[in-house]
Order: sequence, then C-alpha cells, then structure tokens
Amino acid sequence: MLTSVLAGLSILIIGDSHLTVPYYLIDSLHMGLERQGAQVHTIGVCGANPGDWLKPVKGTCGAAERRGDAAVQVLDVNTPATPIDQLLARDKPDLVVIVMGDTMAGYQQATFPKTWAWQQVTALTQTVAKANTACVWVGPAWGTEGGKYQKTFARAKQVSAFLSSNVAPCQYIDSLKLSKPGEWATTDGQHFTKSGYEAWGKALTQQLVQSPIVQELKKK
Amino acid sequence: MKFSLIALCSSALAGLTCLPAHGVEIKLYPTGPAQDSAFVRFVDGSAAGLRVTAAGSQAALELDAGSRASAYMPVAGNTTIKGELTQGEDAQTVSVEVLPSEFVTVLGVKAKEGLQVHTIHEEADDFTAVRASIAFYDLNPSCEDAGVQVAGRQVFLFEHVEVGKWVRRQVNPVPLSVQLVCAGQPVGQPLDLGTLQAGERHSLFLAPGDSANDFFHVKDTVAP
Repeated sequence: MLTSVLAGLSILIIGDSHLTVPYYLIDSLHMGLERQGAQVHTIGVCGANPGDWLKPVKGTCGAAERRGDAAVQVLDVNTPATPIDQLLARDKPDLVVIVMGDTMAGYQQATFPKTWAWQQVTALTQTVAKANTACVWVGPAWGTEGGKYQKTFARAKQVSAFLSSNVAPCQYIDSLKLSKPGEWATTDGQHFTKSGYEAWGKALTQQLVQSPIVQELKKK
Repeated sequence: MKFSLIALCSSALAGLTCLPAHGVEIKLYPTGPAQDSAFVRFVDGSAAGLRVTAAGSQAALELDAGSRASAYMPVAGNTTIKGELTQGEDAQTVSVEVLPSEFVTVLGVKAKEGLQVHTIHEEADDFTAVRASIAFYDLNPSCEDAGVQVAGRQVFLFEHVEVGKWVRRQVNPVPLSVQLVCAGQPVGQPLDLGTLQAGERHSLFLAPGDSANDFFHVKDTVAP
C-alpha cells in the first residue's frame, strides 16, 4: 500500500489574508495536506508582514484559524498574529509553511521596499531556523493587474525573485510557476475567487508532496 | 437568482457574512510601508576609541579596538541624524541625511589635524540568503589603485577601487582570508574573515592613514 510522504507530519501554516476566509487557502491548501495524512494547523492574519509574527501588532482586516479537519474559525477583525516562537514551542511542527508575499510588495509604491522586506524576511526565517524547524515559503501568485491594491505582474515577479533568493534556509515555492498571469480570476486583483484558491491550494499541495525538504523529513 | 442568494447567505452560518456573488470583499490593507527602511551605523576607523552621542539626548555609544562598529540602527528615511563624535579631546558634530533604502556608515578617524568624519551612503541591491556579501570601502588616498585579493591567490575580490567609493559583491559561504593590494603590491598582513555563512554581510574598510594598519574587517549586523 502506498502512503503519502506527508502522512504523519505535523505542519504549521502561517500567513496573510490568503488564509483568512473559509474558502481561501485555509481550505484548499490546509485540507489538501490533511487528505495526504498530515496534521495541519493554519493561522492567517490579514495584512500580516513577517515581522508581525515576531512582535505582533493588532490586526486590522480579519483573521482565521483551523486545526485538523475541524471547521475554519473566523476570528475577530483585530486579532494579532501569534509570536512564531510561541507557536513553534506549542505545536512542535515538523514543518512550517509561510504564505506571504503580497503584503510586502508595496504595490502602491513606485519602488519595491527591498531593504524593509529583507529585514522582515530575514528576521522570521532566522527565528524558525534557530528552532531547527524545516520551513517552506510560498510566494505570491500572479493575481490580476489593477484592482484596489494596484497589483502589477511586474512587481509580483520582482517580489517573487527577491523571496527566492532571500528565504533560505526555508525552501521557496514560486507560485508564479503554478499558473499563467491572470489565469486564476480574482475579486480585487489580489484575492482569488473560490476556483482560484482551489487551483492554487491543489498546486501547492502537489509542490509540497514533491519538495526536497519534505522528502528529507520523511527519511528522519 | 433567488437560489444563488440563499446559497451564498447560508454561508453566514459558517462564519461568513452574506456575500456578493463574486466573493468576499477583504478590507483594504497596506501592501508594505509608506517608504523603505534605512539604517545608520558608526565605526571607529582608527581603533583609537570613539564616543557617539545623539543630539538632544544623553544616549551614547562607545566604540574601541575590541568593538569597532555599532550595529546598523533602523532610522526613518528622509530624516537627518544629528549628534557628536568624540575622540579624546577632539570632537566633531555630525549631521547626516539618510534616505529610504540607504545603509549609512559614519566613520571617525584619528588624523594629525584632529578627528575626521567620513560618511558613506550605500544602497544595497544584492540581498541574498544563499551567499555571503562583502563590501570594500576605500577611504585611503595613499593606497594607489586599491584592490582586495583572496589571500595566497592571485584572485581579486575587488580591483581598481576609487578612493571615496564603495563596492559590494556576493561570495560563496566559505572560509576566507583577504589581502589588501596597493599599486599591484600586497600591503600588510592578510585579514582572516573566518568561515563566511550564507546570508551574512561583511565590510572591509581601508581607512585614511597607514594602509598596512588601517585595513580592517567588520561583520555587518542590524540592531533588533
């Protein structure tokens, strides 16, 4: 009998608004990994930056949490992120999956705030690394250009390229390679429709099953 | 239409509000800061002891041969940092404009004429967590055609660097010793940087004065 490489792994997923609505990745990715036999705990905080998982600040636009195959718990709009060191100590996950990219892109700014992003990303990855926890970073998907966030394909590419060379020792999953630009419909340029999140979650689950870091975990 | 509204509104039972047909409307949030981060650090260029005092504050920073550089301290971009550098009896006021994205180094150097202040504005564009990064700051006009080689090898990390300029490059995370070269000739002893780690950032300074003695290394850090 074949078993998934994810069977029995404890996975903690943290991230931004893409995890805060019951049909977003908190459903498609979370349940995709659950169906592969992983024990998954997901927390999403809308608008969260990497640094917010180190020194939490009051949220402004919603949050959600899900454990195992229980229903999504939609949390108070002002719920802050939980410090990552507390989450790691409590959950003792085999793998942390970080879903963040759009909240660092500065879509409304003329230039990508790379120095700030470097500081934010490095602080979070180093904290996870100090806890000797394997991690995977999921970068932004294409979305659609425009909308209230003024997202552009060019900036999404720039952010993704930056993350790909700055999230180590986390492994990077480039969401831009999982669809064509604009292929997944959005509601506002940045957040996808239900079918978009289903496609993204399914593709990410496949990426995680095949990822070297998960294969390595399974050998331990 | 009636059917779809009922279906969508029933989602409210699972914690959703009644939704527009195209999906949930997330409240608008910023996708980054209003402006990029900026940092400033202070360096004792002569290992002669340097006291840094912030203007209008009792806060002071002491640097010396054992701790030649402060961590990069986050500051708001588009601001002017004011303070005073003190070395023995000598003092110099400092006023530095820091722009977003900049890493600014303020270096105090002991000279015959007294304490000199050099300010270097660096905008990094090579962030990486898979390789190490090294900068070379050439502030010494007595070293002609300055360069830095891998010690024991005829391989240049930096070549033909102009006085008053800085250069930065990525290197593999390996053990590294470097040799200052002036006018094509090695000067002074090699500097052992230890084993570089991926993601680390380092600085090599050639301060004004004796090239053989005023070439030194600092590992860049950022204050939390």
